[in-house]
Amino acid sequence: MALTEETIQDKIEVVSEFKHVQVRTATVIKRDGKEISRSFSRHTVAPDISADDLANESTEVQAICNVVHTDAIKAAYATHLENQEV
Amino acid sequence: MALTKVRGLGLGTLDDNITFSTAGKGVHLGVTSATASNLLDDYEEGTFTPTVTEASTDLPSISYTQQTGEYTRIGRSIHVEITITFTASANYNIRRLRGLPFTVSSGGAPSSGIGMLNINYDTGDVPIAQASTTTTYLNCATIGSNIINDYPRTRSGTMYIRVSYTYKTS
Repeated sequence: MALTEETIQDKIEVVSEFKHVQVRTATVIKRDGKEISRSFSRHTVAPDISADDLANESTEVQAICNVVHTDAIKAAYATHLENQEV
Repeated sequence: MALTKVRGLGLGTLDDNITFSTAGKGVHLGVTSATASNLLDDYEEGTFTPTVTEASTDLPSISYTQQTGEYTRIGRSIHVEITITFTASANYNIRRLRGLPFTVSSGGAPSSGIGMLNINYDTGDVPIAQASTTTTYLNCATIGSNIINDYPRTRSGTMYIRVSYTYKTS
C-alpha cells in the first residue's frame, strides 16, 4: 500500500474589475494511485503585489498576472485603495 | 443513459454523495422552476494564511507564532475564522488583516467585532474589522461614540487577534 501526497493549483480565476487572481491549491492524498483525500488552501493575488512576491508565485500565476495586471489596472486599483481608507 | 428527470413519490434516502458530472452545477432549493436566486451551486471549505499589516507594509519586526485561516463558502457568502498570534515592534498601527481567500464584492461590506488581546486601543473603544470592497483584506479600526476613532496599535509582548467574519464575494 503506497500513500502519496501532491499539491496542485487546481483552480485559477480572474475576478473583479481589478483582476484579482484567485488561486486554489489542492493537497491530494492517494492510496495506490487512487485519490482518498483532497483539501484546499487559497490565496489571492492583487494588482499591487510586489515584484518579489510575484516571483514566488507559480509560473502559471505569474504569466496570468503579467497579462491582466496592466499599468492601467494597477493605477486604478491604487486609486481604489486610497478611497477605501477608513 | 443520461438521467434527465427524477420524479419523487415521497421521502427517499440515498446511501452516497451526489456528484455532478459538470462543474458549476447545483440544486435549485425550495422552488419548482429554475430560479437563479434559489440556486446553490458552490460550496467549499479550506484554509488560507492571514497576515497583519500597516496600511500597505508589514509591521516592523513582525514574527508569527500562529497564522491560521479557515473558510467556508456557501454560494456567494464567505465565512472566515482567523487566528493570529504574533510579536512586532511597539506602537505601530494595525490597519489590515490580509490574505482573504476570495475577493470582497463591490456591494459594500458589514463591520464586525474583532477579538484582540494585549493590543492597545483607547479605553471604551471597540476594535472592529470591516471587509474592504473589491480587495482581499479586512480593515481594522476602533470605534467609540459611534464614530471611527483610531486604529489598534501594537505593543511589546505577544499579541493575539481572533476574528469571525462573514462577507460576500462576487
